[in-house]
Amino acid sequence: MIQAENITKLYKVGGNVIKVLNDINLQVEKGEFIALQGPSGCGKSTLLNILGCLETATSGRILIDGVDTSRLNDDDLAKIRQGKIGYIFQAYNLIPTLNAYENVVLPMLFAGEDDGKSSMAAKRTAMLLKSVAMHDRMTHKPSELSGGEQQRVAIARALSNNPSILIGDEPTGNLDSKTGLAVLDILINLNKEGQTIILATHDSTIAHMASRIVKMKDGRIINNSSTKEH
Amino acid sequence: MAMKWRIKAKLAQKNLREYKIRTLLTIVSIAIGIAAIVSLIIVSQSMEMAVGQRLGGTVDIIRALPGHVVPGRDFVPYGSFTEESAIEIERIDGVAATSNWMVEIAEVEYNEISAPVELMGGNPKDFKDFMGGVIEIKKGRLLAEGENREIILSVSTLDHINRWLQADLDVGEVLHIKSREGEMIEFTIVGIMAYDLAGVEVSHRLLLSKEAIKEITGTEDVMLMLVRIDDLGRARELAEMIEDRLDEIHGVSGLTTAVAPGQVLDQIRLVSLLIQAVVIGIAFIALIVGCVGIVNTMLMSVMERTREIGIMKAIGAIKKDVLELFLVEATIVSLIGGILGVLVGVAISFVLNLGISRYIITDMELIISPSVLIGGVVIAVATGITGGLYPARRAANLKPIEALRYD
Repeated sequence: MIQAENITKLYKVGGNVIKVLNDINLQVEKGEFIALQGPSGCGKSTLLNILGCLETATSGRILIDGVDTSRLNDDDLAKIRQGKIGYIFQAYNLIPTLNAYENVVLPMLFAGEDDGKSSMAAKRTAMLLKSVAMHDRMTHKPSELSGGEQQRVAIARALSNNPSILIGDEPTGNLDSKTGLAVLDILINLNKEGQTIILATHDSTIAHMASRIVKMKDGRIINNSSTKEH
Repeated sequence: MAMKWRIKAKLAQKNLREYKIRTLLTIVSIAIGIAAIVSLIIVSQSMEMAVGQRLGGTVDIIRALPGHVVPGRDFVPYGSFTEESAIEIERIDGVAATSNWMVEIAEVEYNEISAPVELMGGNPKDFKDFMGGVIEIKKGRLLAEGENREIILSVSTLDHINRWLQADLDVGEVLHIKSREGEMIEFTIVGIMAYDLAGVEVSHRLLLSKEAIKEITGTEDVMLMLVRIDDLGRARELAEMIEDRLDEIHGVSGLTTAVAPGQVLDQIRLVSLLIQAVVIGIAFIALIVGCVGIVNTMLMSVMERTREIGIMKAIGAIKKDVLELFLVEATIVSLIGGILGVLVGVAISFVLNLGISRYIITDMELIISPSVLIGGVVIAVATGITGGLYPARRAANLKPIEALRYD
């Protein structure tokens, strides 16, 4: 469902050109739970950003459900992010002025849905918040929530337009291990229900809960193996 | 699919409330500009209308004055007319009637305090026939025909002499005017005018009969001749003829001034055009200030919310969504500023009118046309959108990943 072909990403820093990603090939199948592992600066985040259509590769192409995203303009990429991708950030990235409910419903509103009390969007938001056990705190603003709670809201938001793939860039990186595990639990359950997930993580315990571990170093994939039969 | 307008408005409103002080300051800056524009336009339109209306009653009257206007200076009087010259003027084809007026300076006295005033005298009958359009009696009546011991004056002149004489004179009361021989002649106030002739309060004027002035001053000099004409279309031509004829009668050249009513209206129009030019200038500056204010506030807002914009883009906002979210904010701010500005502008007009009605044009009626009110709001919103455009586009064009990295 997601296919990365010969992805190379160059950054210009000062006068130097740095090759952050070097000829990456990766295939993500539906229902997979992939853990992307590797040291800091190895290109995990950049790869996820490119898979998640937040930035574009210097060369190579990404196919998402058969659509070549390397040929799309900014708005078409935004629409792919809107409908096919759910992104979970390390820093949660909730909008500070909106409460939990409003943060979760927002992607649906960008998709043109209505926000009335009995609308589809409202029902789905309530359901999503319940699935991450945040339904009793939906009128709280991010500043009134703990890190774990914020990340749960962020997961609900990532799921709001029923994405093909959930992308998480160190989603437990800012959480203590207990809270981190609780968040991970939610992700594992989502995967069991069929949600395709790709996570970047430092933590090998987390990595071993995935169906496949992809190891990266210096902008290359060095190891690509299943942890268990799926 | 893009976000619905209603939802954009809701989100924008939420953001504006989140940044209350900044929103308020922007609203105030726009409101000040719009209030200035609206009040200046209302006042200048009202003044033009008031003066035009009051002079409107004299459209068929040419005013002839002994003297001439020296360029760059005021009117310089020279000599005077006589009753005989008026008879000559009446012979001109197109002239229907004339009316002679005398103007003198005198002193009024009340309880042994005196005050300088200007006396203007004509036939009591002429007050109605020639000045009817510019006199509005507020209390009492006009001078009675054949009655030479009566005076009328405007509210503001009455106020003035009351202050000067430390008196509380009103209709029916008596004051004294000192004659050239030093004799005190008794006059009764019979009427109070809403405003001085044509509503322009330049001198403190008592109106009385010509005979009374002759008695006070001992002269028969005619200082103003009003000439009623038959044909309005020939007003200018007749004014020139009257000038020439009067020059001829008095053996001078170019020392008589006859003003056709249209000329006065033209002068008023010129003055009000000047006022309006100044108004437009101020309006323009106010608008630029308002516009720059919005650009500044919105740029700050875009910068502060860069990360938020990145988040919105990451979760699927297209450029148009972001652009419009910011433009809706600018529109709401400027709309509120505009409405507030219009309201304040109208209030300022009323306050200004208190002063104008008292010192310049008595009882001026404010002309508040709906187009000025609507125009004020429209201009505010146009300013808001113009000012919001650049920051909004900057926000819309942010790259999501760069915006997300912004702290």
